[in-house]
Amino acid sequence: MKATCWMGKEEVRVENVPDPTILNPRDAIVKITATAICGSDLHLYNGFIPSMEKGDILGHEFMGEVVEVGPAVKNLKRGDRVVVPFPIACGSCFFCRKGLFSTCENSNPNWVLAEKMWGHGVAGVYGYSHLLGGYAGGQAEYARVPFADVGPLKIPDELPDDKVLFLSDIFPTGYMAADMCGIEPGDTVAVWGCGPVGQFAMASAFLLGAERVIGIDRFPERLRMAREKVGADTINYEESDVHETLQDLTGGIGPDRCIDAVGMEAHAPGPIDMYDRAKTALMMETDRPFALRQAIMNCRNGGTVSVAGVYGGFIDKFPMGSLMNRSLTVRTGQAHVQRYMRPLLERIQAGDIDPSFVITHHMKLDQAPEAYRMFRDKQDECIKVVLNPN
Amino acid sequence: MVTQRESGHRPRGGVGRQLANGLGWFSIGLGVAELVAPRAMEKVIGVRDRDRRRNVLRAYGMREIAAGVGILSMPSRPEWLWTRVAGDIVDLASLGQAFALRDAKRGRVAAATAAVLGVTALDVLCGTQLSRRKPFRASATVLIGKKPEELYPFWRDLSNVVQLEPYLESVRPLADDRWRWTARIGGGPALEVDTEIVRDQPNQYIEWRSPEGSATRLRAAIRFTPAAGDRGTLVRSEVEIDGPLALLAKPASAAGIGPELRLEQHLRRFKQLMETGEIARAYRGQATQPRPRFETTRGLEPALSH
Repeated sequence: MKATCWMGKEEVRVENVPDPTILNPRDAIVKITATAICGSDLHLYNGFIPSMEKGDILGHEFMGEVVEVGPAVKNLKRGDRVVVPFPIACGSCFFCRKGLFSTCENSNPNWVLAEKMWGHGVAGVYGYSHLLGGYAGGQAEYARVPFADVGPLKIPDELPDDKVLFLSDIFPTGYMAADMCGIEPGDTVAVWGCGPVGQFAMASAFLLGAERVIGIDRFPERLRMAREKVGADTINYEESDVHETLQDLTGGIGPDRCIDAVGMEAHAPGPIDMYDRAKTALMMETDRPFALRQAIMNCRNGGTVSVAGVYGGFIDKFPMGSLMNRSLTVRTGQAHVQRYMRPLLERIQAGDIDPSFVITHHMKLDQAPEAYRMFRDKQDECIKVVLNPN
Repeated sequence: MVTQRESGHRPRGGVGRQLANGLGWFSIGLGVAELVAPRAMEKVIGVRDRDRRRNVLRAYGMREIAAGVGILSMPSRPEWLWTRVAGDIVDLASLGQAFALRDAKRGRVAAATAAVLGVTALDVLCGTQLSRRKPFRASATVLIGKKPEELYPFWRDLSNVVQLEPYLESVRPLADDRWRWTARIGGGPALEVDTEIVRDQPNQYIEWRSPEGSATRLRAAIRFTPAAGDRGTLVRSEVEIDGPLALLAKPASAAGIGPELRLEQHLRRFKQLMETGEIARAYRGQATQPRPRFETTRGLEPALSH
């Protein structure tokens, strides 16, 4: 089959690889109809995530048709249309039973490796480094889906792929970012980063009762999408001072809830950007936490900072004093997608939201290398690329 | 998951340690005497005063002091005792030369030689004591959301363990609760170890040992303790290795690929099997087959062929 393979920093290639097979009783094989490139795939593309190996198959946002099931999978059959959640979870361990699916104890064969890096392990994730299990990803024609009796969500025929594909990651990720905020009526929510996750965080903040949502970015097309498709106010941080503007908009108290939908490769205006780039180049920090610092500093006293952006290792100049003295709460986590898929599918069916609004490009799987470049460099106003194998 | 390891030399205390302490102070005392009063020392060992001899004695004195300080500051390290033994041999050689000198008092030289021989014997004894290694020990613990009686039977039939360790070719039952473990690393020769069950408390504890007289002495145990808060069972696995294999275990452990990693992996896989009915394995399916860099992924590959 054809698959998008990571060949090294800033190099992906579509290669011919062996078809996946059933390895465990609870596996299924899915023939992929739609898959997307995630902002977090760019961290792999840019070489920020350790433990990638040449030839690893990328992709953790995918859906398709079940073509084979293992003997222990009773809830799925050949021909079912499913969306596959990006964290692989067993559904029965201590954490899965608490709904913390992205920290499943039983799905990551390299748990011990992750334990060395982060103190404790985390769930396996498709196509996202050997630290997260070394599983083959879904930017391919077929994928092996472990614990297929727990993760995949069956999709009714009448819903097109574009409307449901993002249940695999970015819609639940954005929704969980807003959910973790504990939004109360009348709240103002500020979102750093208006990429696809930021768009869904903003839309979800409205779904959860926020009165006002403010998106912060520097790319006009993303800010336009936030205004026109989500109904948010926007700040272009290259044109106006973020702190001043937020103070003006909130009467000096700051937004009640702040969401970091940027993560480890933040860009910052001015000299602070050089500072974090120098520190990461010297291996004195692994991530550039500019958006996180700003989210903390701007949040109102007693407010919530919710982190959906991906971080990998260690950061510098973390404003702990601001966090502690001002009674802030920090919530974070890789999305527990299995927890949100069904209720969000119901939201889509009820017409509350159509997630396809973030798609700017449809391309063929063969065009993946071009798509990665375009998405990374924000060419052609690219916000979200969907790849179709056929 | 908690892992511990323990290995190396005997801890503080014991005869070896006390003797080392005495020898350390003796070394410093003798060294100081040689360094500051070489003329008096010449008299004691029965040779005439010469400039060259005095300088040799001063050099020997510095050697003695260095060895003494080394022994006293690192009392559990046998290396310093072995430097003393080397020094003793140099001293004996020098005394041997002294016998041949026309101006030497042979009686005194003989007495000095006897004294050095006595100290050498003590040095060798002490060095041997300190060099005796403890067996290599490692342990790991994992929480499994099952009752002890659901976990214990797996370990009562050791042939099950092959599923947890790709390097293990087979575990076969022999007579009388004995089991033969056969492991192979890479294309290397098969490694065989026999064990017998020495303690078996159903649903609580099982302990295996290699029989008396085996070249590689192995002790392994698994313990099941109900966890607090109805969370299942704490499963603790322990292994103790003595003999030639213990010498391999220590550097492997220092490199992060030692027995404790294997124990952690076994318990993780055991947990996966008990809680989910299968062992998590990644299908890598890469376009290229790179040299495996990660012990854990490499470890899984042979498991696929089982």
